[in-house]
Amino acid sequence: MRKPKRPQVNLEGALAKRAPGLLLSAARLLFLIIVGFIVLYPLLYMLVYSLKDREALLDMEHVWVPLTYHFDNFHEIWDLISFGASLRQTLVVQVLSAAIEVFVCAYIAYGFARFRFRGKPVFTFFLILSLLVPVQMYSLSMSVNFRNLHIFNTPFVYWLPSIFGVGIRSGMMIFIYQQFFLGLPKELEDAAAIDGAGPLTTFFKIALPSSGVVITTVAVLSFVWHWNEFYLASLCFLTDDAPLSMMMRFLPTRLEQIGVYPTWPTYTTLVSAACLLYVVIPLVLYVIFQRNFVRSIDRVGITG
Amino acid sequence: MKQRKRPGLETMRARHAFLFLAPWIVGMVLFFLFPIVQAVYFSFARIAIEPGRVETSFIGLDNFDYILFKDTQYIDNFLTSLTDLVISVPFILIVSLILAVLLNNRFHGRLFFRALFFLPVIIASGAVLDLYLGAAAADATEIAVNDSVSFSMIDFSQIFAALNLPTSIENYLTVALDNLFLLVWQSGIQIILFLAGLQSIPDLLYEVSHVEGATKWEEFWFITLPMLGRTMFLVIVFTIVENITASNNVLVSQGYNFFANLDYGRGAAALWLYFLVVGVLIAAVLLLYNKVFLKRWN
Repeated sequence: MRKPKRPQVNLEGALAKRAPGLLLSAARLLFLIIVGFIVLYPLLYMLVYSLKDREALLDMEHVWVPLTYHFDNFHEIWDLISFGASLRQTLVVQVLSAAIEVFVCAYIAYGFARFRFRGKPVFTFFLILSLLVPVQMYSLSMSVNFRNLHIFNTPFVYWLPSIFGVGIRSGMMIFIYQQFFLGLPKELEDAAAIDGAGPLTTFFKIALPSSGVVITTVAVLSFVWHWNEFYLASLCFLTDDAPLSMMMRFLPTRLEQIGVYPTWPTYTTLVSAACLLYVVIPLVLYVIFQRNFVRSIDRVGITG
Repeated sequence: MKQRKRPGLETMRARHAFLFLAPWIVGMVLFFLFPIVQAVYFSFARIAIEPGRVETSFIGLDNFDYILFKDTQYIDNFLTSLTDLVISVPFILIVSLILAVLLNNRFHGRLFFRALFFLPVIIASGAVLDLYLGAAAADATEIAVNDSVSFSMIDFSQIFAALNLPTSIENYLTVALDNLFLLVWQSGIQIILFLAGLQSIPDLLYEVSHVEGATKWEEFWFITLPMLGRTMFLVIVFTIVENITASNNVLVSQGYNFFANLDYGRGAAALWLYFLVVGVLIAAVLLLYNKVFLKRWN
């Protein structure tokens, strides 16, 4: 009934107009699915294998969709890496340190980005040096240093450097903040300064509130880098109060202690379960918080 | 003189800078400079580790002499890792930029894909990757990982054979696909940084260009790319740093092997020389980038 009212020419015209757009989004989706599959593969692998028992593992006909599911692997791994205790250690030691760095690095980076002062090239040189040189380079003298400061084998090996902005990868975080602050329009801050706001007020009231995107980004990176940090942990901690990352690092050794060798069939299933347990918390947190990747510049109302 | 020229703000600013930098300066002196100076000294010394303390004796340039002229691998490793750097940085940059631009668009399932591309960030930067590769390698069904990094779980060669492609194209595709796996896995953090940069571009610019009748393609080249100048700078530095400090970098792992054999002097010499050369290279690249691109775009 409608057809005669709407001339066909118009419909075709509309289609022709939209066709390139539709084609583009189809291509985009296809591209994302292909690349996404590469990324998703290990997670699928872990998921499937962590739910297999010995029989399912040897069942070659149902590799990707096993006939039965078992949660025993998770129970076993949970006890083996004492998940509760090591997660607590990760949260108290590493994640707290990560949170401190997110704030402290922004504070320091503001000094680098917004002010001109004598000797700035020298300071910048040391900033670049600190993000270029890996911890392994100076671990020997660092552990001696920690002993001299009487903080060896305490959580302060994480906390104290973080408070001073020289913790795990804080050089990189300062650098990220610095580049972002440099790109922030200066006018609003100058206006605040002219109105009599001190540098601290300007930083806390103007610069920080307009930095939502970069704060979220650095928070994510800081969290992941601390969550995965095991070098400092294995250097400065005893195995009794090891964080999760260190437990994962020494998982093959632990498995050997209970008689599961890499050649043993159940090795794959147990390691998959452990990897899944380890990955799932950061992933869920990211899914929850990624909504914060929103424009915050517009909200402050700076124009051109 | 300067005070006369620029009264007020600028002079206040120099003093205020140290208000923000003070904690960092204290921290650098306490936790970084002392170990770093000692690590530099190690490269000129012979190290013996006694229980509870470290014995050092100054031996001049002997360590450098050893790694440069007596070690058979050092020069080769050095060149290999520099070549790898030059090849992989532009690739990672392009792959992550494309993915970030795609993920920044509004479309159904965007949240899902964003979460998806966060996976490499968690997995590839920790103990999980090694464990996973080990577990997959030990997998009885042997469907998983053929070589350590390529994740080539589907046998693409069979697909290509079925398509009857010429051998040369088939080889190229195989290599490209293998690299794609590797590159995507190394681009996680770069994607996040680019996304942050894209989110910081004011909507206003796109609205204006839309009114002026610019195409998406023109918008990308004349708005998105220039506005990403600083982010690009950041991503370049980050990618270079990640590449040259990765423990699977041939030269870095050679240095760590020296450490593992308690040969701290030679290890320190090998790595310091490397960081010095790469540091100079980075400085040159960044200076060039600043001169050529950032200035023009601004």
